[in-house]
Amino acid sequence: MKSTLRQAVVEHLGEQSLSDAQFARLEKLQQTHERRRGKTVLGYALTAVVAFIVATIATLSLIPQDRAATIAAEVVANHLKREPLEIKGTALADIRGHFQGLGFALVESTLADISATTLVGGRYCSVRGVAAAQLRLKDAEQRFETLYQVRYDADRFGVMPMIENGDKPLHLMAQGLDVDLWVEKGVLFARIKE
Amino acid sequence: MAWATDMAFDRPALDRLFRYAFTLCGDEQASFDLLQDTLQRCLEKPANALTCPEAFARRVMRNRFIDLHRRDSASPLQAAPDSDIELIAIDTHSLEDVIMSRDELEKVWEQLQPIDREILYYWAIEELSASEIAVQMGSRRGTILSRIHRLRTRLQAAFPQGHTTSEGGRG
Repeated sequence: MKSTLRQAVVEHLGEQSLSDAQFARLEKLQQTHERRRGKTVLGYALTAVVAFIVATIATLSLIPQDRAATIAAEVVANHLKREPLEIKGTALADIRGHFQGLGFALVESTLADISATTLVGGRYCSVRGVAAAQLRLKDAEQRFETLYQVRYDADRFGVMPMIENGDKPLHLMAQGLDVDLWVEKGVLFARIKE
Repeated sequence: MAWATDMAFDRPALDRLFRYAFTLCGDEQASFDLLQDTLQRCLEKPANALTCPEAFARRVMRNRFIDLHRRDSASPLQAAPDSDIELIAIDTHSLEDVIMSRDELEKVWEQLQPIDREILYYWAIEELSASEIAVQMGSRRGTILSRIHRLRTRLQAAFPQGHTTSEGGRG
């Protein structure tokens, strides 16, 4: 039967369709891919969750630890330089006037073993770019210690133990020396013992 | 809807793509292989990255067909550009008055070049104009018109007895 070319093309191509078996193969291909994609998405999701957890842990604990370690390294380096004292005195009251430029009054620590040391003198220095007092102490066995005092800024120094809250000083090691960090009366203390 | 949210073509969409594959290949088994290969490639693409997955699949299929047949001919879906001057009086309307039975078409179908079958597909199935066909095939309108002119001549030569109602008019 004669028809137009258009009709012939439509009918000829219209006859072409997938057999059930062919369609089943393509459907299986799509389903397989979908399952694989699902596993991939699940994998990405798990990776994202793990990454989030790691990032959170890093933010909450590792970064402050890093800051503390940085502070410890800096104060130990200053301690080892043993720069000359700018003022000498055996009591804080003797040297407080010299440190008026700090913007805070030097604080007597309540920690028992600090009380057991003797002040020798002090000099200006800095911790993380903030003006600080570097005090030289001597213990009963004539070993030198250095005690830093700097106005505490949590954003700059990270979260530090508060003695008023019952926290214990944070203990670190730097260049083989013991370093304790804590906050008392709004002042960050860093103590280096040889 | 050809593309469901779960990244799968439904059966009508697969049938349409199979017809397009058949247009390019002219052979059922080769068409299925081409469709399967195309589907595999399409599924690698994120669904939300595609605005028209079926059109995307046709393009992938066409490029794949060209790649597969590159060895056989320089480019099975690309014709040499022709001058537009001789084509002024030609358009897809030139094909409208060609009379042909389905059996006759089946006889010549495999002998036609893929590019001619593709033109027939877009003209008869998608009902596109010469300009629109040119866009789909990444060709010039003049080239498509030239192919239409030659196609009409070839069909008339294959079936010389009363196979046009009149001379093709200007489109």
